[in-house]
Amino acid sequence: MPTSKPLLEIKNLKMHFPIKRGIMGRTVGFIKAVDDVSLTIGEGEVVGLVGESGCGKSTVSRCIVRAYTPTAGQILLYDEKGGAVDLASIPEPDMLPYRRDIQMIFQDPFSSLNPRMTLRQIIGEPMRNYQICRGKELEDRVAHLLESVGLRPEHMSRYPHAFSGGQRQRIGIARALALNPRLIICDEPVSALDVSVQAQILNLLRDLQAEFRYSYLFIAHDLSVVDYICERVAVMYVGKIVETADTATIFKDPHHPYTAALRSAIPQLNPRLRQLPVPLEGDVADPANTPSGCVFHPRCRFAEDRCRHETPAMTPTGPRHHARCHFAGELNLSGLSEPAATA
Amino acid sequence: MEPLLEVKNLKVHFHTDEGIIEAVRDVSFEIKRGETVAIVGESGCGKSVMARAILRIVPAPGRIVEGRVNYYRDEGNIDLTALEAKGPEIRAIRGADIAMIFQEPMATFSPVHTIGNQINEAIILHQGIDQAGATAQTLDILNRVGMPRPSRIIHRYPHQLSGGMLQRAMIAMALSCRPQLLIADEPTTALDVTTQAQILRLLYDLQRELNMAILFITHDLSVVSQFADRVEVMYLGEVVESTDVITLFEDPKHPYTRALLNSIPQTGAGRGQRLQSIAGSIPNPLHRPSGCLFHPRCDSFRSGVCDLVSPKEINIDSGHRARCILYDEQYSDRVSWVASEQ
Repeated sequence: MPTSKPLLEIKNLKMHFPIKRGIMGRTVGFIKAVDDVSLTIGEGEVVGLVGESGCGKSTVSRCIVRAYTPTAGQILLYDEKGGAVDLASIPEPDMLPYRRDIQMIFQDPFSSLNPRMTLRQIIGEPMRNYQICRGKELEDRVAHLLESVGLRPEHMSRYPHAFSGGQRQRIGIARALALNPRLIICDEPVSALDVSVQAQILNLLRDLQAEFRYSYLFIAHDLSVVDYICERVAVMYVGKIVETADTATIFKDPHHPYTAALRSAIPQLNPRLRQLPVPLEGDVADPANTPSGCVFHPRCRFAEDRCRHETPAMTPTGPRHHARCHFAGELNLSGLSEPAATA
Repeated sequence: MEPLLEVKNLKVHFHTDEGIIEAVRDVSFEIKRGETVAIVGESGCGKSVMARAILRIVPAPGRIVEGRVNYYRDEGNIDLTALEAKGPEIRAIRGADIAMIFQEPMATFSPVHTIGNQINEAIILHQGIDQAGATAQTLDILNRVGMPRPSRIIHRYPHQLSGGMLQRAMIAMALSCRPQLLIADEPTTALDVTTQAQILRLLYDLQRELNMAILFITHDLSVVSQFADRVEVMYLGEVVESTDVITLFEDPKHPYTRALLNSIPQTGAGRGQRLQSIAGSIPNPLHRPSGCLFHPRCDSFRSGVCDLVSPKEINIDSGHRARCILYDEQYSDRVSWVASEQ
């Protein structure tokens, strides 16, 4: 639950992709990429969505911008007066006014910019589309946006190929800011960048958030990046959110065994604390053929009979802390989350 | 420990239409038996080219222009750079004495042969045994790398396995001939953190079992801290700092190493502290900066020295070297006022 007024509320979102076989295109099953996800993002809040590849975190973001039409569920976008519109069900053409409220920053700064457009065109296009301004005024706003992301306005006639990966990511950020959105979805914005450049972009995103109070949905697989930038974190596993909590508590005191395992899988940055643990055996479950009961049970060392048959519900386990586990709060996960010195 | 491989003043250049790219310029280091040496650096620092130069598989138009790679065998040492790149001698070493694993297992395996046949091929080639004997060895090595149900896996094609499983299969193939040295080029970068933990643990256990040395190439300092004995930090084709892993994290000397360590977010550090980023970005290899290659991004930059002089490698301690004028006595008058200013 956010501390501020909600901006976006996702309720029981489902996105199932049909698997088609044969010449008749018969549907033989479904890939449950997103299966019953509920998440609220407050005004000016930074929420992290973490999980391993294939867990459905990018599919959630694509449902929010309606690149996919969700199978079921609601995505409520609140306006300033508290009224709400359901982005999951409104007809495609009616989406237009809401698209400017939600912008995206993509992972790959090389494929997300059109190589045939200059920076002026790339950053100016959203403002031109919404007929916000034109001519000299447009130029001034592009210049201002370039400055705010740390690029030189005199470079606006250049093409993306003239810029490095980090600079291109800044261009992508400037484009996302052009319409003054309320929610920015950052889909792995730093994972394609070099370490030395990663810090620049993270700092920029944080500064912009502090200044303009944007809300971010920050999607990442790197927990230390999420820890640095997010106030609240939701952990996803095979299409389901398994735990949500404040960033400060989720890594110190995880209540779901998967979160604890994820936490302990990150190598410590200290050569005197060598551990090399193997927190999880096996592979992530196939979303086309999900395990019965709790989706995590085949890899969970605490799994009991009940976990194999009964699907756990999201239950509150502490202040602003929810976990989807039958034994949440009862398990001793400290052995998994605390590094042990063995070197 | 006795040395296994010694790289001396290695230079690899790429002759392109736009000019000469000095991918590796004057790199020297040593790997001892059973030791893990990590090469750390960002993209374009030359770490992968350097590793490929050891095995003589630098892609065209790259060429080794200078230097030696001494490989110490029981039968005496041999300079790998003097061998014919496609000749029988290097081919006998490649895959048998020195094996390599790559970041992209999907690109390493042939998509039209089964996993079993591909591992068999390596064993038959290097050990000269028959198909049945090779299959027995393949099953054994797949078992050792923790592959579930090896007897079924050997009949599978690469696209039928997950990323983590393929990485295990590639490790199995690399280890099938019990190499003295394993070159691992970003072996866990494409994997999720939980799979990365499995693969690192596997490499750690197998290294102890087979007493092999590992040359670990990565950009991830947290993996280095958990895995390496010694570290070579590379920037634009040069080793800028070389030391043991504890010293690297507790007493780094080169401004680049320090900046790199400060720019990594750490879990548990919280949102309070701000990351110290490194200014600018990695220069185009065709337009290298003058003087010290790092000077345009360095916060200890001294004009009149760093932009003019190429720094020498300075011995800071036994086994600890850094390429920076801050530690060069020749410039101690400059350095003292650097120190007082900070």
